[in-house]
Amino acid sequence: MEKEFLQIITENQGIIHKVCSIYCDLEEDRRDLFQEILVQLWKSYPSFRSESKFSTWMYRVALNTAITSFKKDKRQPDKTGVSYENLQLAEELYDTGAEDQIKMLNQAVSQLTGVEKSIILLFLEDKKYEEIAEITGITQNYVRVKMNRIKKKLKLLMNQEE
Amino acid sequence: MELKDLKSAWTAYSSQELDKHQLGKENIHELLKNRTKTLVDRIDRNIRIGMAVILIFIAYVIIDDFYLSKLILSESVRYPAWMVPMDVFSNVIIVTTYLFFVFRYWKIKQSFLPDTQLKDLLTGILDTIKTYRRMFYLAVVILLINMVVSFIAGLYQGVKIRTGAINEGLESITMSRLLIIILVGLAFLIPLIAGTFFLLRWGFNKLYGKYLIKLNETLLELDESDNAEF
Repeated sequence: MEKEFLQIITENQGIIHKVCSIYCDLEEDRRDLFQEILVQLWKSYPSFRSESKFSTWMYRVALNTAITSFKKDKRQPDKTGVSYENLQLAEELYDTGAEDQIKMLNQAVSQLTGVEKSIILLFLEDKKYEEIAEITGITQNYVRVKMNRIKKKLKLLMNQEE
Repeated sequence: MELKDLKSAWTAYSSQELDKHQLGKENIHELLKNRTKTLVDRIDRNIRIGMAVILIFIAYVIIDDFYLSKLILSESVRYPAWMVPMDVFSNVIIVTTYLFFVFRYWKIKQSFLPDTQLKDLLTGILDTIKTYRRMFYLAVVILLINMVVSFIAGLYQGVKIRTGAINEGLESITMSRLLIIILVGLAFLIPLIAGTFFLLRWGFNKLYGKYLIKLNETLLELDESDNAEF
């Protein structure tokens, strides 16, 4: 089972990296969260029954872990700032427009709550409301309502930064 | 800028992230060997610490009853028989309260899966810790009452032995001397009781109390869906 698990996680590790990117600003926190998610996935793997897609289950475990992850106060990122790591990465992007967009997105997303971060991540990943509801365990109607609120909030935050 | 424009920027950013941080099977295997620190994992760890503290407490009570007391008290001093059931009651309350908490926590963990029933799991853990907090303080009050009664009984016995040694009865003690004995007794008793209370409260908060806040915050976020205004 371990071999099978390692294979499937290696192939789908992008999901964990995306969750870590959206929840943590600091590189150190990202590494810790990556490990936490990995261990939770391993612990929950025996209960995965293929009733849902593997990626759906993986998102669910990863997001639940990110929401309940315990960070010491001193290592909590500055909610109003952009991390050096993200800025550096953004600078590496060849498109200047994309760089600005990423800067703004990071700044705005860092001010969302844990549940809001999970919804915006799934939205950016082009997931349908039905799948977002399945992953987050909330109703489709509420996902719509929540998504509209997040969009407004993000627009406001990003317009302030422009 | 429109939000839809961000999707392409996000795709570029996340694929760049994946390229930068891509791990091989060996690295993933290595990471799996180490422990994690999610909220539930930390509470699990602290329950094990609490269990160790309780075992040390039981060991201390046994050593105190069968060895230390006999070593400290001279043969002429007898431990009042009426205090034995009171001590036993107080110790049994402390131990059973904790065992009840561990049993309830374990049942909650068995009933809900963290990947699919996170809200139910966290609600269950929160309720269990809250119930334990009430029971813990009840046990602390019983323990402190026991300490106060034991201290007063010890003080009384001490004075009785001292006056007996000089062939005088308790009635020979003057009012001013009695007042001094009471004041000296209180000077020892009050810091002892206050110190014990604050030490136990600090211990509880260190092990479980701080997680109550974090659990409440997380649940509040997860509960938003129940209180949504459509």
